Amino acid sequence: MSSDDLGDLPGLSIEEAAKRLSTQTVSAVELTQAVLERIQEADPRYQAFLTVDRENALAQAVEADRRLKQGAATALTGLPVAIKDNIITRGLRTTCASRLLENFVPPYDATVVTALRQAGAVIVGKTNLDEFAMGSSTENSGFFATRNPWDIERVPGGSSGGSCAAIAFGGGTFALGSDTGGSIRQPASFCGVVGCKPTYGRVSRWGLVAMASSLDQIGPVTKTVRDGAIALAAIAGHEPRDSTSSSAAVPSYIEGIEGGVKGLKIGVVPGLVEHPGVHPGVADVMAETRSVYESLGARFVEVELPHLEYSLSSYYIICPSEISANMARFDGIRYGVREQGDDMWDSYRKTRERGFGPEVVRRIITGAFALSAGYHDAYYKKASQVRTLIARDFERAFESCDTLLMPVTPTPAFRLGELIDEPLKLYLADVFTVSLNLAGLPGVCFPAGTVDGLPQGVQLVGRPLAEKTLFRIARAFEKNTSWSLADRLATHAGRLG
Amino acid sequence: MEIKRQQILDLAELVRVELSEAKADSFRSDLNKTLHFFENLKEVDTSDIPPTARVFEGDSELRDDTVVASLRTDEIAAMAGDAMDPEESVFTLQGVFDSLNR
Repeated sequence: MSSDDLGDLPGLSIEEAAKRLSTQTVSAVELTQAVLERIQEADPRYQAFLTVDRENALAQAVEADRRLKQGAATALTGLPVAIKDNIITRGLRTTCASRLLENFVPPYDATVVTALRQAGAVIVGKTNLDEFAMGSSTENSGFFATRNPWDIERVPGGSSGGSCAAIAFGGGTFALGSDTGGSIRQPASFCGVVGCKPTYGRVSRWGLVAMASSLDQIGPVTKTVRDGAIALAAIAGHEPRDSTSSSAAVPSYIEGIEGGVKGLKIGVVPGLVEHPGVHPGVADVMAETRSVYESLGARFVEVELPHLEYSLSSYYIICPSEISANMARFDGIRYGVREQGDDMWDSYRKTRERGFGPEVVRRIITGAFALSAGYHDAYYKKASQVRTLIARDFERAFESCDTLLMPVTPTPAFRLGELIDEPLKLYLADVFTVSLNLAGLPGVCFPAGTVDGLPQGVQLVGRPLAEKTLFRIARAFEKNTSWSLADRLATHAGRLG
Repeated sequence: MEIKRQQILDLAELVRVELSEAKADSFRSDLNKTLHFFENLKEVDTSDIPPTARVFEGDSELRDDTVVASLRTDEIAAMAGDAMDPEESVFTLQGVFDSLNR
């Protein structure tokens, strides 16, 4: 196969690639080789990957071809997947983009990884993130920042910036990310791809290195909405080892996805995009999205989320509080780097100081403060009470609509270095995403336009376990517009990189 | 609420992270800005509102109390390096009670 023929393979969606594999137009080995070559060629520019596992990926591809020939394939057999590096993979280095875990090789797979292996997907590598998923730009990675494939002077977003950038430039057919306060949806918006944060408990957290245990969820990053539906179905489901896992049956998300939006009610919060911090282009994209849905027969209703403006404070108290507990396991004894101090406590202090980056330390200290005696009620308890009110606001809103349409980010992708020295400003950029995590609700982000030439997504928010509805509504927009990744790439000579 | 440098250093001690005074000052500045932002929560009336620790209530799923395979000692030793004595199958560390200087 010549390099010209390889050209379009990394750009294929899950469905397109699966079709070629099933008709044997291309083999899993050829597809994997094409993606690996794309990574080799383009990733030095974007730095989306921390580890590329060429040898094992090709071995998996050989096995996938065997399954395809035997007629034992699934929807994901033979498809190259990139996995965010806070999801553990047996025998494959998992760093969480932290110096503390620089050489950590897990002895077991996360549940989602087991699911992908059983489906026959091909793991090509582990993607970059903000260290321990703490950040919104991937600049907090302990190793290097990832660059936005649409403009390498800009961030891809975070913390799943590596996964989203990889899918944008063809470094995988799909990817997995994790979302605690927007970490799939925000980079998906910045990179022009589809990102899904499932309902809390929909996807097992077994093997996801915990950041904030009541907020974290793993979700798919894909090139199309239909792909998102396929990928989520493969990783969703009950998990006996995750006590927060939902036992609800996993529906077929792809069935009925072309059902359209006629008669559906889409809620919008008035005044949301009129805040001074919101780029006017974002408001324009929201308005255009609304026009499209109205032309397709959806009806818009106004809803109130009276406590939405407090969601950032609530989140940035609760999240660091849980972080301070979850990061306590990194003591340098059982795994990770180890610094020898004068005594055990000194060793702990030195290990953690050496291993953790500044944002991780900042959040641990903030969380410890919020939980400490004398401050716990004013901060953690208060934030948790406001969380209850935010969840109730959404519950009330869904009495009058089927989904909520909200912006994902107040601006398009910002420049590298622009916000890294201003932690609070970076937190403020999460204003539209954190409320879903606080309330445990699902959200699907999909590309809906451009702002200053950069991709801009919007998000649909659903009731608990309403992913099927969200995919259907998102698909209606994708089908009737030209903002999908493939459509946008058509204006970039077919590829980024 | 204005947090002081010594409070940051005390918190760093509690969370077992070594922090220089310069870094403590930097974190103090960041934390004070963040705490100032959190002041908006005082505007919210939360009387009689229960806190949410877990969004979807319900009993935690428990598995059957059966013995299942766990990690092998060699796999654990590979992670722990020289912190593990493979013959004794124990982790070795500096004495907990050796020093009262925390």
